[in-house]
Amino acid sequence: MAGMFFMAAGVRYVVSLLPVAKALELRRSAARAVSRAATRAMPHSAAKRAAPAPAKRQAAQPEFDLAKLQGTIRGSKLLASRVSDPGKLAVAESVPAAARPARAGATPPEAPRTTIHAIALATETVIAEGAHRADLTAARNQLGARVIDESLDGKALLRVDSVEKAFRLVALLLSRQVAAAPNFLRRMARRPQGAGGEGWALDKIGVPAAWKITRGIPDIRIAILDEGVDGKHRALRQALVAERDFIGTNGASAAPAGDDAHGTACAGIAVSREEDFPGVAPGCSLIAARIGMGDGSGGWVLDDYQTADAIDWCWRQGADVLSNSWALGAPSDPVARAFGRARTQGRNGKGAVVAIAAGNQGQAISFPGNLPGFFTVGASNQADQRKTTTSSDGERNWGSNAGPTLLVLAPGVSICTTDIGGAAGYDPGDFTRTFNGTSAATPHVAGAAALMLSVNPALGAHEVRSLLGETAKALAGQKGWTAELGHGRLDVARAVAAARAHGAVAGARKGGGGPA
Amino acid sequence: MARYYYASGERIPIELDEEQVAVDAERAGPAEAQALQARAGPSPRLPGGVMLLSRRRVGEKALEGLAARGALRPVYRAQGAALVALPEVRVEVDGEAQRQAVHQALSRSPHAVEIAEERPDGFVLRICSGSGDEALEVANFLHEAAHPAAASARLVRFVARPEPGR
Repeated sequence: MAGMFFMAAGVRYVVSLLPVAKALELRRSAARAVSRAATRAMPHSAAKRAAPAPAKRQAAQPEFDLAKLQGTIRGSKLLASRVSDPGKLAVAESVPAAARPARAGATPPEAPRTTIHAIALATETVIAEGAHRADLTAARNQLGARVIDESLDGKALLRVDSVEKAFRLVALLLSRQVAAAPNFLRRMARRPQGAGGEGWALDKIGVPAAWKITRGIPDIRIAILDEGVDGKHRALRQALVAERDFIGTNGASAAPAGDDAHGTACAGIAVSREEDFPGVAPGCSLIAARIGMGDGSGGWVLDDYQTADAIDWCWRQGADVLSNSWALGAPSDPVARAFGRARTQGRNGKGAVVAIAAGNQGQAISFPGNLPGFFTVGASNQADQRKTTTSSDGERNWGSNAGPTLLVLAPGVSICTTDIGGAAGYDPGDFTRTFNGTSAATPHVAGAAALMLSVNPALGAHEVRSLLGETAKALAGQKGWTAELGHGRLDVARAVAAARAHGAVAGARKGGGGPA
Repeated sequence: MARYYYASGERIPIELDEEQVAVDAERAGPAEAQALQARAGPSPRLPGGVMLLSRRRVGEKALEGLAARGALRPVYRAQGAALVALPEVRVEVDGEAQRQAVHQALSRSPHAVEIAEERPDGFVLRICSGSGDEALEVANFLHEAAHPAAASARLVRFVARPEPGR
């Protein structure tokens, strides 16, 4: 069909429609051609190393099942309202044409990209923002368009009776200075398993490479001290070996109340056993201590004594690593001394690793993250920047704290992890993709430390700390430790390799509850 | 009324929160506790049986009655946290000399205190009056008179949720 176009970010895109199978085949061919050209351009040795990778990635892609996709659309009232016949789905292949200025103030959606992983399917619907009554009347009179949905900020969804008319409607509305765009259905492929589902964090910090050495052993226990953990979650229940409620009345259960999902999210980052949403150390065990709960007005309530008791309970239960994604503001001696006992008496005197979140206020690290000698963790983003209110991730309302106790940064933006099962928690379903904060960063370090102890249980906590610092990736051209970046961004692969190489491993055994 | 407590050997200043009040639900009595929740809005039952309520919504007359029954606990603010002191003190000692020093100091304490629990590493003390303020004062007194490893009133604290943007 000639003349189909749309605007995105001020650029005019010319559209051609292709059957789905044809579009995918063309993309695969193009990808293979690019790969061959890149390989020819490499030095010989690099080409030899690189050659297997593209084939591996291609082989790892799940087969695209058009029939299943069509069935999914037919089975969804919402999706079915966008296309009259899923049997005639077409991919919208778009290429930029000459640029055309967009309407002032309009922010059209980004142009869809068809890759093997992402497919944009043309529909019979159009998104219009800021249309006046006269515009809608013209759309109805000229193309039979009708409004089928209206939502926030003046957005409306219009429906016509063919894909071709949808693009004519876009052109009509654009000519009337209405911000209009075709409404695409997008089919996104899951990333290959072992790479954190659709997440970025585990790949960024080298977890898949670390897993070639170890995925963790059950003897190594990570304690999550938080507002409870959903111990029945399918990704966590097999890892859970001990739990206790220190703030409520649930005794030997650390189950969270209501939507208190923070602890479940932290636990998942550390030890989730879900293939699509794996934790850093999925082979390790989990201890859950409920030390906080929602106060009914958007805050947390904790009890200093109970928090101190929880810390002591955790290391006495054999926790090798304690992960603490919380801050108390004003200091507390009982809590500080309990952490001190964990660090010195835990693991039969080798010391438990105590990871503590730096905090999210973009200010100085407060208690207990400001205690010296522990593993205080700040947050980084997808671009390996320290998380600030102006970093490139777009989350403007928080920034990673800084200070003399900061050890390393770890991923803390758009983290995929476990959520309280079912409707409760952050999102519907059993997982969330938007967990964030130094709360998210801290269990990444906890998991890394657990992997290090899995390959070398003889390491003392101070040695783990040193190795994490030495193997961290320097950021922003840093030369050595800084209060904002610590030693840099966590590198799990290097840390685990360094742990394995450090000291004598043969004959080292993890101590139990008895004397060393 | 205490205006500081000790942590890591330093005085941590605290300020009275003028807007909130903590009520000991047991001392207030079930009927009054229920009436308070109806007037001031629901409050989760917190450690120590404490309800955290808006002072304005409770009302001055009710506050006077609660104070007379010893059911009020002051709410303090320090470094971004709201703190409610419960009538307990935890003392940690490093060695027998410190333990004896604490015993001697307790014998001179201006406040009535009982040893609820004696542990290998210290004590848990109960303040007989049920006052959280007195717990802060006893902890400070012991810290200054006996120099134990730590002496802290039991604090329930209210902080912002740890995750940003939710």
